[in-house]
Amino acid sequence: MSVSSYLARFVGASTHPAPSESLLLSQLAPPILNLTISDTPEQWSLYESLLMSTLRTGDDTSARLVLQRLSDRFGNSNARIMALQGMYDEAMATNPAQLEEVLKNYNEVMKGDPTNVPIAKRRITLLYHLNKKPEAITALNTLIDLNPTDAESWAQLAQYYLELSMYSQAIYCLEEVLLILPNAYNIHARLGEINYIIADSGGAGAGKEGGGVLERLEASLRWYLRAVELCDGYLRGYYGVKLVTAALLQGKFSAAQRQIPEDKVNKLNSVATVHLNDIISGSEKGKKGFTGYDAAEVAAAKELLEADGPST
Amino acid sequence: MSRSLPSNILVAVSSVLLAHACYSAHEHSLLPATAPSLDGTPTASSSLPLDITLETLISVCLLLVGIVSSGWELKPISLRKYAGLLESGSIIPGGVDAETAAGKGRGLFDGLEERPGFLDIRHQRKEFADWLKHVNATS
Repeated sequence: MSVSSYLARFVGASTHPAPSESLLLSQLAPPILNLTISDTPEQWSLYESLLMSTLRTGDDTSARLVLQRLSDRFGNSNARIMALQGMYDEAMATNPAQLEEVLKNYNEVMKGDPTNVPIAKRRITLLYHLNKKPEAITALNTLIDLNPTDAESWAQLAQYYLELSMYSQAIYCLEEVLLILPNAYNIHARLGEINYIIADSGGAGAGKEGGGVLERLEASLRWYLRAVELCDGYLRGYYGVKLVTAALLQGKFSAAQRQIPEDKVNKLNSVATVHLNDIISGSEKGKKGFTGYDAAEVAAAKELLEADGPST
Repeated sequence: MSRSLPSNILVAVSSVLLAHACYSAHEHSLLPATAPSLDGTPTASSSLPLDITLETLISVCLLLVGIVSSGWELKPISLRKYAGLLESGSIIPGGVDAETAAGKGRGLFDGLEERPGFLDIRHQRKEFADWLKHVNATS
């Protein structure tokens, strides 16, 4: 196998792969390391992905070798290599004191060069990992002040806020991401999810909250619809449309408060059902053009349809 | 590439027409040499008759229509379509063949939700170690 075919394997995998997939990827290490070094960009991005895979599975000797070759080629002062080295050190640390040592290292680097973005991101991740959440969020805010057009940072900040249930801040951050990448349909879907979560948690409150719940559900529906509009056959988007329209139909909201009329919601609900059915049957039969859907997501969609089945 | 039957017929018929027009033109070019006009002056036959010209033009037009409508798989040029094909795993970006990749669909903006720059490697290592323990315990 050649570099490009190995790279295809890694490109196809997410950076949060399932453990069994990590294992398969990590087992590619010996043949990849035995390839002659061709000094092409593909080879080095393959090395970078391989480093993360081997670190994930604890193949530390391979990881060491990969990192060694990368730093031989690009030098130890390259920001990206520094971040990879930092990741290696984080993974190797066996006790909290060693982790603190890595963190101190990051602080030193940041003092010398506050614009070292990869190291700044590693430092924030490590702070959050060490349960210093307020510090991590402050540091991330500083990074965003420095580099406000980095969508990845905004999305990460939204995640941190979301974990702390600071919903309006999370929504603000994701809207910033959309200002940078207006076509990011998965961020639209994410906004729909957050609005749905707010409506869901608000629903437990007093009846006075009713209007707020309705507003959130409608906002959620709008985000999901935009996501589906931007991406044809988007399973997550249609799932959301189905979920939110079902909630809107079941909730006892007065027609005067609704901004989206009920018959429209009804129609959207049946459209989503049709699309979900298409995707589920296509993917279960392994039809061409449906093979890429995540099996767990398809199963969840099926469950949703079955739960909804009797009522419609 | 799958071709539909009507366009196949169209291509065949217009090819025959075009070949016929070429043959007619060739035959016509031989005519003046074998049959000079009676009064000895060059006639209008040095230019091609209208019917051959028309036949050529019409057959070429039909051939073009036939080829264009013969069911090419066009590349998706709208984001909606392209993103949908990526999500469903029909195409993989970067010129990689869909069969060689694991077959899993990767969205266009998945990086925004995975955020490799903020990868919590210790968490993932722990996850993997737990999984390995679980697998070893059950097998």
